[in-house]
Amino acid sequence: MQTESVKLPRLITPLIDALTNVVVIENGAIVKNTLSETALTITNDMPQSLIDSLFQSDNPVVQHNQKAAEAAYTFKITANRTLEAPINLFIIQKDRNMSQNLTFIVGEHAGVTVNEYIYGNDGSTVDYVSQAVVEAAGKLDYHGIVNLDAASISSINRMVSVKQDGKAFIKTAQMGNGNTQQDTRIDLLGPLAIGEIKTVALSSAKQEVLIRSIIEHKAKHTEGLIEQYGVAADESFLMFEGVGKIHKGMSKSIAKQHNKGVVLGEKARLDANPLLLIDEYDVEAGHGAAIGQIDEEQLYYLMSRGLSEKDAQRLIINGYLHPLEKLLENDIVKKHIESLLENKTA
Amino acid sequence: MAVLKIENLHAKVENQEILKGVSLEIKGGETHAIMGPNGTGKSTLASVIMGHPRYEVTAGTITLDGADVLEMETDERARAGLFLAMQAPQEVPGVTNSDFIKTAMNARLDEGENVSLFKFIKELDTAVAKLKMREDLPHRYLNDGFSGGEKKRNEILQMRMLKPAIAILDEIDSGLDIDALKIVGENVTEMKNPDLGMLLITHYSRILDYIAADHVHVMMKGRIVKSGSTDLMHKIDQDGYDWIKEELGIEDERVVPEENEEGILLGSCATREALEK
Repeated sequence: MQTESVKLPRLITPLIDALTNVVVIENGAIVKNTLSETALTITNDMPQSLIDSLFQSDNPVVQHNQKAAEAAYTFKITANRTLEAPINLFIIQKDRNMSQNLTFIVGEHAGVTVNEYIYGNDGSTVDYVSQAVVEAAGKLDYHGIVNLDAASISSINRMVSVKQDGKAFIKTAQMGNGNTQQDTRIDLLGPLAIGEIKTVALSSAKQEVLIRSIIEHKAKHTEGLIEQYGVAADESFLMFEGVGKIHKGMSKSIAKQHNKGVVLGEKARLDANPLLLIDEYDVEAGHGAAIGQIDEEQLYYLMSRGLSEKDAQRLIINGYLHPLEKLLENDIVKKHIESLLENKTA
Repeated sequence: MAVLKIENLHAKVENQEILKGVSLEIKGGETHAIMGPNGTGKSTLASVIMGHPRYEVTAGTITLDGADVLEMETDERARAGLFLAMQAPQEVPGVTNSDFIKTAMNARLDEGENVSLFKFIKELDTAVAKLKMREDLPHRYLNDGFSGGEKKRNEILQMRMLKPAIAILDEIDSGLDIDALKIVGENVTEMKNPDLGMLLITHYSRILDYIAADHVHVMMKGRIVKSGSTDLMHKIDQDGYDWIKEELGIEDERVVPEENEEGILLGSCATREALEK
């Protein structure tokens, strides 16, 4: 289905061909769709009233996108239906700048897994916003992988609102080579809602990567977990911000956060800035950050079994991908991500 | 048949000399035990043999079949046939036991060669069963969230898979309950063969009820101060170490300051007290 292009992002075509349940959006147009789910409808629009009521942002880039995105699609999962197979969604941008907007609506008691791959080639400006609403007792597994080339600049904003008893598990991987800012935000709107953001980011060369994860507790008995894992190599700069915010009166809520990162080389920089903003006494909250070189003791342990230093390092860094565990159950995706990783840390 | 030869080994950590002239020779087929109170340098000896970066050798030699071990990096030592079952194995989240062991086995082959996947899985499953570990061990992350006993069994599992020429087991008994101790003992005993030389490092002799040693050494003040047969072990078991100290005129046997022991003291003695009740 791919049109010919010398600058097609590496490795992407074999991945698309190997997967089933695929939707490919190329420069804003759906060029391939192998989905055959009756419980899923795709429409070419942006649900403005939903966005106005649930996804107001103070970020001007997002505000602009939500008004003027050049391409917008809405994926809606019918209530009471769970899609067994994941939707593999490819968003590919070639040789042009674009703003795109996707909305996912997970109906009451519905469930879906979305694997989202954002690819673009050199020189593109990528402005991507997604909104997802998880209705009561719905469940969303949302895996976002970004792999953009070195000269690209990107702003990736994902927002999820979770209603009563709903669950949202978001995993993101930032594997690209361009400068990027990635925000992931979950609003827990109903009691017993659960939200998780697990992020892996790798930066190399002279790249600057800013990753922000925010979970806001706007109901009682809500649970939020943020985990951010990073590797900064060469002369790159990787920054993690994590915010767990519990509003006043939202008692019995749990906000947890963990940041872990490895700095390779002397010129790379990795900062973590975990924040807990809590306006309520009766909650459970905690955060931690561990940033440093590769753990010497871990390295020694692996080497004491005969692994070369390089192999030992590779395994340990690979280990940082474990938040993507579920996604990596798919061997094709696992191989793909590992090869991206190898390119980044070679 | 492998020969590990240690001569007049001196080593220090952070400018403090811990090993003060250790000499020891271990041949394939032999099982040696080094006993001694805490803080006398036993674990340091194990770490120095394996090449832990924290320790600096200031004098003496270690050779394996004549090759200079001190010239080798840690991974080269392992590939040459040395294995250390560690007292406190590291947790490495994100790295599965299976990936780790497979990579370690492949590291012993020529470049481009890999262990047969079928053979590997079969061997690993057998080892898991023999050590009575959880069946999902291959897919679990390396020692991540393992109990103390599981970690120790995982060390022996790795030893089974990697088939070293010389294996050093550093306090393999600490933190093990009696059932786990029996499992570890049986597995190690089963591995004994005329090509495998072993060094058991222990604070307390009960592991030697499960793994027979033919040479027993006592370490104090960073040196081996007494060597003998199993009779020596039995005497220590009954009378403790005081008679040796008296015999040699040693007042303080320690060479590692207590704060450097990282809680090992507590762990070992707690086990001992539990057993004596």
